Amino acid sequence: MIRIEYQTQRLSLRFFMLMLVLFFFQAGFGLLLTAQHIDPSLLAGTLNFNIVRAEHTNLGILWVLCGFIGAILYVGPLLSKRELAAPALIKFLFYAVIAVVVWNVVAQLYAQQGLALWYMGQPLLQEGLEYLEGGRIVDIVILIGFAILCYVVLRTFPRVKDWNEIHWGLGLGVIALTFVWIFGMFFVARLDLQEYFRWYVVHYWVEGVWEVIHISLVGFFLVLMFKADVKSVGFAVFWGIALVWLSGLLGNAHHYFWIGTPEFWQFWGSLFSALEPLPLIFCFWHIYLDAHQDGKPVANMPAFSFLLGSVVLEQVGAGILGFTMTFALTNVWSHGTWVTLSHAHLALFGTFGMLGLAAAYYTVPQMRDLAGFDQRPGRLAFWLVFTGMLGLGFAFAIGGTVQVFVYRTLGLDWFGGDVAPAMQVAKLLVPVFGLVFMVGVCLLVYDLLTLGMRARASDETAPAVAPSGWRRPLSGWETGLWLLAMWVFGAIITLGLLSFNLPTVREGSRLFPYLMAGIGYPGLLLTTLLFVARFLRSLDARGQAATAAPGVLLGHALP
Amino acid sequence: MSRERIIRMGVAIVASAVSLALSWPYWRDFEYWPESRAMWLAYFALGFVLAVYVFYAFLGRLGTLFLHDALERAQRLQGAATGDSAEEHKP
Repeated sequence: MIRIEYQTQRLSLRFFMLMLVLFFFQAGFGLLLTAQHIDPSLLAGTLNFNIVRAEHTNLGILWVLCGFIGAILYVGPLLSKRELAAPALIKFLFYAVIAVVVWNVVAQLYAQQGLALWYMGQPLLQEGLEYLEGGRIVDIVILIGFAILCYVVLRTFPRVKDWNEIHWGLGLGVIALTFVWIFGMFFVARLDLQEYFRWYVVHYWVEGVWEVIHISLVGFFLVLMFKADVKSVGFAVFWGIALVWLSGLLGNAHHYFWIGTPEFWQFWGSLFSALEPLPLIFCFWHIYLDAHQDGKPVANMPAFSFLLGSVVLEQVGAGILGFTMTFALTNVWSHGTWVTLSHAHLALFGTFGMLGLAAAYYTVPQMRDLAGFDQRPGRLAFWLVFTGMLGLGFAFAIGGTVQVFVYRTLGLDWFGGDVAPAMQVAKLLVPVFGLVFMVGVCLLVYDLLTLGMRARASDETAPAVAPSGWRRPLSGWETGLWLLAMWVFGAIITLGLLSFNLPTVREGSRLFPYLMAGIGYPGLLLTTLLFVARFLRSLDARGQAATAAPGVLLGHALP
Repeated sequence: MSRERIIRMGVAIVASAVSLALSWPYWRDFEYWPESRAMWLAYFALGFVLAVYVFYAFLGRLGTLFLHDALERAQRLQGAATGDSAEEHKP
């Protein structure tokens, strides 16, 4: 059994628990949104759609941050070979996060009343900027919180000359997390300039900072789970980060296309965000190679499933779906529609949310001193949230394609009379997959909250069989073919979005974009589902071969 | 230049050319700042060169990632054959 080496690592547990609670409520708000889409009068005046949406997006950011903080606090001592610095500050940070959460949730109710509490030119209560809704007071609390995280991480780490690439990734990540936040802390009266800096925070966080923290944490968890070589992982982390910044710093401009900024951003934003999938492909191969390095069983399959889900959904949601709509020629049609929602859900939950859940599944059993645990609920929960999220991505993408055609091409802009009825099938599909997702959320929240407090059910031991069919080892060539198939479907989706520029489509023919979307989206999402099933089945086969032999230890592969 | 590098450079040039073609501004009048057509050509040229570098670097480092993997596998096999525990890679 892997035990906690440093007692201060246990401080991460409270952040993971808070993450689970916030995740549950965020998903709950999401379900409420789907109901309001079908019946717009639902809770109108009490809890308006825009308020519920703001709660949903805000909590999405906050629980992902809780996951990051928990994971960083867990790995910090392992990377530094000493206890975390300033544990009292970490405890304070936890209560500060709770205060920020409560403030954000409550402040939205004031937004519904139109109250911002202006003082000295600053909105103190709430500021109505998408994703950065909290007012100036909470902005300052958040800045102090990030500064505490920075201080703790940098004080815990060894001297800079002893840093490896993972130290650099996490060190730069937490500094940038704090620094970039500052750009969202001032009020700009000109809306286009305010939007510019809002995207500066949102985008540079997600594609410039969170990606860096993500790559570093994925690398370190691969070291922990597979005893991957630190130097090789360091190389992958370094180049992953380098490629993120080479592409993402200018690629950020894909948010500047339609907010009144100069036309040259259309070129720079399109070209460099087209390169943004490269580090994600790099990370994809990184996890494949490290997971197949020693061929030994994976002891903690729920943790690895979520880690794999994080990297694969990063590839599909952020990489491929992001690519399809990143060009000015396609984005002019897709921006602000459900097509974007498809990308955003898969990318944000997939990449960063699943990493936090992977970290929780890896660390919580250790912090509760469990010699082993029933992995079946965690595995089932993974499949429910993974399938549910892919289904949501499908419903949003198909609904978005219809929305683009009706709203942007035909120019029918009466949402209640033209657009919403045309999207009705997709609007009904969203709660269906949303429910699947929510069941998964409930299961994993229950499982992680009560891990070690329930009587342990005996693990089913599947009969040892020779790996064949979907259980045979996954080769690099086969993985390459799966990846190629995903990108082929991505290319079909891109062609579909480009086709909105064709004169025939603009004259009213929907055949080509609907055909491309009808092939591309289900093809991509089914390929993703099958690939992950294939990957995990091949790893399962290793585990079953080893269950006959005793000694499968929690957290690590067999020595 | 080795054959591998030539292939890598070729792939990087083709991929960058496709990316550049897809990155054409939606408003194609080029009237928004900078008003000079020469500046637009400079943007396209600079963007293309930078994109080729990023693709080239990506392909090269991906190859190195696989080389590391092959090397580690060989070391593991060698360690297993000699009975050494070559797997301890403490962070």
